[in-house]
Amino acid sequence: MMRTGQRMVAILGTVLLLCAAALIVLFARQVDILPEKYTEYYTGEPREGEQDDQMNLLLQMLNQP
Amino acid sequence: MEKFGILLGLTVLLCGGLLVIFTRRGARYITPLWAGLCALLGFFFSRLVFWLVEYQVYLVQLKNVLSFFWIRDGGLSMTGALLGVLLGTLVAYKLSGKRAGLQRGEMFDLLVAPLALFIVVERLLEWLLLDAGFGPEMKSAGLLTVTRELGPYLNVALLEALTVLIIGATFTFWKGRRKGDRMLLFLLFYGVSQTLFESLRKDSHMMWDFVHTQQLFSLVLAACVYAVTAKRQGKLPQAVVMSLLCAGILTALEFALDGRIKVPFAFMTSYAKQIWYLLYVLVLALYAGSAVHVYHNKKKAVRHA
Repeated sequence: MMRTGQRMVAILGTVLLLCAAALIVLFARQVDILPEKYTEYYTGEPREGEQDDQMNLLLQMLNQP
Repeated sequence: MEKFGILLGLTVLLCGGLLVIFTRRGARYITPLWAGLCALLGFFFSRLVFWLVEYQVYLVQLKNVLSFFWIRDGGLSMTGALLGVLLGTLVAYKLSGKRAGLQRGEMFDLLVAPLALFIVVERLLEWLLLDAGFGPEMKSAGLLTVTRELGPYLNVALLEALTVLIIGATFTFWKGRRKGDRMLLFLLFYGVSQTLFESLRKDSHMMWDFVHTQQLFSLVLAACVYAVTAKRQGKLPQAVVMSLLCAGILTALEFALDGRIKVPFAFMTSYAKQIWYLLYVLVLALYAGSAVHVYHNKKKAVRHA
């Protein structure tokens, strides 16, 4: 049987865990591509990796009959 | 609400449940508080590290400190989450763990399984829901590829998930020499494997110019673990030298992968990337092996006692 103090810790802890989980559910988005409202501030230089994709897309378009 | 957020939130609750199962009966009452602190601090630091890494956008271009709270626009970091979870455990130990009869090292060891589970699920969600975690283009589709608009790519997120599953399972059940060793070695192997996987990733997540920051942080994590184990054996200089050597060689290999260093023989040219990545794996394996060797090697004074 848990003592009163231990029960309080367990209950408060459960509330904290549920709040943390709720925050994650509401806000978690593992997205690195920022929305269009930020893009006007970008210099326009492609990052590493993006360049390869753009080049591949261009090559595909050029190879099309 | 997004599927990603819902599933990640549920995973956090599942990890909390796992923590309850692994903690001994008399101390179980602190596990919800412990898990809650880890989740809260993990989320906070995950956002903080991303926001700081992307300071060019948020602070230099947008000049808006409140952009930290624009979480729904995206931007979280696994390194930050890891930092937050470790800090959460320290706080939980100070607040209630000590009083519940748990040692600090013991608490870190109990965290290995839930932490590994969280990372595995998060990587799988990146692959399945976010079209992230893809690597270089592959010639044909297979078990470890993901098909995107331009063809099959290496599924790095799946590789990361499988690796963490193996490392997590190993160090959940392995008996360390002292409390805390399981987490220490889990972090070493996680750091070393992430250094490779972040190099393979092509989704341009958290870049400083051409540097994958998560790759840098992973190597720093492995180096910190090496330093801790080496200090115990009085071999800190070895850890410093090995870490610098490893960083130097990996930097050269990154330049080689960019095509700035050529392979020595012409017949190797078509296999250049494979050769460089094989060397990459070899260097990291030797580095991890050397750290484990230092861990296992007891001080000479103790051995002869």
